[in-house]
Amino acid sequence: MSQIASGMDGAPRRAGLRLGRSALVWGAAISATVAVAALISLIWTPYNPVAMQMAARLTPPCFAHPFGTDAYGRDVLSVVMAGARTALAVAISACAIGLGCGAPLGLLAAARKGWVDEAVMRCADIVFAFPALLLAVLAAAALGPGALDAVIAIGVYSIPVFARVVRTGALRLWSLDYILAARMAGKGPLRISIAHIFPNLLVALAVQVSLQLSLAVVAEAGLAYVGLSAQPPEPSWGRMLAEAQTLYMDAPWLALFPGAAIACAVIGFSLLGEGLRAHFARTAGRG
Amino acid sequence: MTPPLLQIENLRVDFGDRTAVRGLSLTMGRAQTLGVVGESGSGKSATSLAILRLLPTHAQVSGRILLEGRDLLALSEPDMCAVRGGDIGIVFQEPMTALDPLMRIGDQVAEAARRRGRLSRRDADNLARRTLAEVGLPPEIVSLDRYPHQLSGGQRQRVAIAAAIALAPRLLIADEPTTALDVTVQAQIMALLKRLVRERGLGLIFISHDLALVAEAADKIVVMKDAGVVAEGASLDVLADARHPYVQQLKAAAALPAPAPALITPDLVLEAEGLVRSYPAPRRWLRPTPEPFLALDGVGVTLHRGECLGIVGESGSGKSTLLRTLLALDKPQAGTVHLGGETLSQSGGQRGAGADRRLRRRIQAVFQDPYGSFNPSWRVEQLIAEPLDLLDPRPSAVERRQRVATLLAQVGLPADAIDRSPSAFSGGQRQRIAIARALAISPDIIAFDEATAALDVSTRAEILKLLAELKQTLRLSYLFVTHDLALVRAIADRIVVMQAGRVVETGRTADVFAGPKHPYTAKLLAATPDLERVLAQAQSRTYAAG
Repeated sequence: MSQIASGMDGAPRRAGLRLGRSALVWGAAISATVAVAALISLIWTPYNPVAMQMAARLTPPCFAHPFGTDAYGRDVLSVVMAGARTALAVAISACAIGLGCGAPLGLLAAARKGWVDEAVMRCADIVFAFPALLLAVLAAAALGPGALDAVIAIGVYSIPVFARVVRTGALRLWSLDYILAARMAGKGPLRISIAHIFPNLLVALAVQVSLQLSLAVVAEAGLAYVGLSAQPPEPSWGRMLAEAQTLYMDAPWLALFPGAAIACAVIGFSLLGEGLRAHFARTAGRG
Repeated sequence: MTPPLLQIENLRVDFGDRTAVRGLSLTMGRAQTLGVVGESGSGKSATSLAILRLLPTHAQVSGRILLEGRDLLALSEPDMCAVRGGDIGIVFQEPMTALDPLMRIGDQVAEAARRRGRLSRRDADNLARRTLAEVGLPPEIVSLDRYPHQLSGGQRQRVAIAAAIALAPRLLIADEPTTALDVTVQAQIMALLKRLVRERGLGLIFISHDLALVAEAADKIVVMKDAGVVAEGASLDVLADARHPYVQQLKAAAALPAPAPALITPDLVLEAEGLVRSYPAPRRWLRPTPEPFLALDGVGVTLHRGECLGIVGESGSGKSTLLRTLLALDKPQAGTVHLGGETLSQSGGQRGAGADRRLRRRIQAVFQDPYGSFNPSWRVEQLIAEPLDLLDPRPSAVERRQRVATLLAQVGLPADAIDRSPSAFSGGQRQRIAIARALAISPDIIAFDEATAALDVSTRAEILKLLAELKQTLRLSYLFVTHDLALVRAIADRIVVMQAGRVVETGRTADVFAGPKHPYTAKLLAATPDLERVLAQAQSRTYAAG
């Protein structure tokens, strides 16, 4: 019976699976490329990404400088590689803040329900009501400009996202019979949340983390573009775009390569998230 | 000569390497009811979906399905769309999900008619009104503008039936249409289906796992097992014929023997008095605060050592709330629960976690859903050992594993089950794991909340046998909550009948079944399909005629 029922939507689901599998492969490959570029830049880049060479300024892409050079003669490939480091560091730290604060809040809301749930969710709404940019400006005013502003602004922003994802998943799990069984085994809300709820939400969280990483990369680039993230000379994709703006007619490669890098990271993480979702939906359907 | 209403020749359905239906042939006429009986996975639902050509595209279907001489398998998809809803209507099991929650019921009933066009809004509403009145929902009672969530389960199933018959199909397929309903509502829906067959002269294919229900409703039955037909013919002949071993086996499993005389000692293990639990009704903007809903209205129960107490009632009767209160999963607003000398559930004052822990060493539970009862990421060892944390001092890892191994043997599961994940087990095996978990700390009482409702009859019979053995060897007491009277008759020494938050009748099982004192109990008993009664009635009719 169950096999028949789950097979009812067989055809479209199999098409979705094929898409999901290639999304997973491509997403993982692209995300890994970005991550590897960032890691390599820690020990080696073709040129020093902050060294200026006024003699070689605005060289178009050539063998010596595959991505060309910028207005100060810096090698664009080296800056893009080093920029990946900043982008990933900000995105990962922001997600860590979001997950670290959001997941416990979501678990708490689902475990206590009632007014606790209301309070947590309404606070989440309030955070959503403020633009991230405002938060970044506030952080910059308080801490001075730097990548930390972007981490805080994006991180605070992803807290309600994770809180909601966790709460929704947890509410579904709380209604299952194994939670009753755990209560009969003397477990309280805290131990049930840790032993039974959170581990069964890891799949949903893995998906959400990759989607959130892609959003964080865009957000970091946006904040850097207006000068609210990493400050010079620290390399940053968003600031590269800002600097390329006045020169894009003469030196289009200055906008093209950092733009492509942002697009790659975003597409990679999104595909990875979607691929993971499809993959886990398939394995769950089988179980 | 007109062709028969439905003729199926050598129907075969394969899903890849799995055969769902193997060479099924049958014929049925107008104004006839064909019952299709079988356990889950026997191919009965695949057959009905094959008739409607609603099987997933990767299913391979061969054979012929002739509806009044037209081969449905040879029709084009647009022609088949006209057949579905037009010539054949279908009613599914779950009235909750079979209706679109965002659509007025009037629109759902007339949907098929409107989709075929040439029907004004007013005509469609008239059609819906007429059809709903025919299924017992006249517009004075239920307006066309209602939405499914505003209706009860039985009313929803009536709407689903109205939608299926709105275009006057000649064949109606009902796939377990009453499984999700209470017995009294089930009796009403069955009466409605029988009336439609009689008045409209439509052919009804009635698919069910319930032998007694099918015997009562169907003229002919087909019994399916493992994708094949094992018996077919006039219902009463098939059921009475001893040449069909599987049918006899189903009958035996469904009939359920009366419980063996139990060793009941007079000492009370559980005593509850005057339990009250009310839930606030949803408040509506600018309306006076509604009366709270009284789920338990002064309920008391007692349980002796070695006894099985059946708690019976329909949905909303308060039986589940009572169980949750006895298990301290829910707090009553008034009343007390005495458990083995301790008074644990006091109204008013806050109970400490320590009191709850003491209570849980004495009472454990097995829940309804074998698929939702286990943390999917845990292994059987962890699952069964979970309640051992209640013990003081906590057993060591070695002791835990030994205890789990003993328990697995006790519930009849192989020893290698210990390191497997719950997804490796069938529904019946999962309920055995749940029983092992409940037994882990050797409680006095085990509570069962509809614990066999999701199982096939033969699996259910095995589980009941196991429960009877365990009760005897371990001197356990059971609380058995169920809506199924036939089941409670087979297992309970004493029963409590609940209605609307009150106990309306209590007594020894045999006494209550022999002579119910409360009219509600009598109504429940009359509505419960009983195979022996059906066969006896049919026999007396035959004698009267002969």
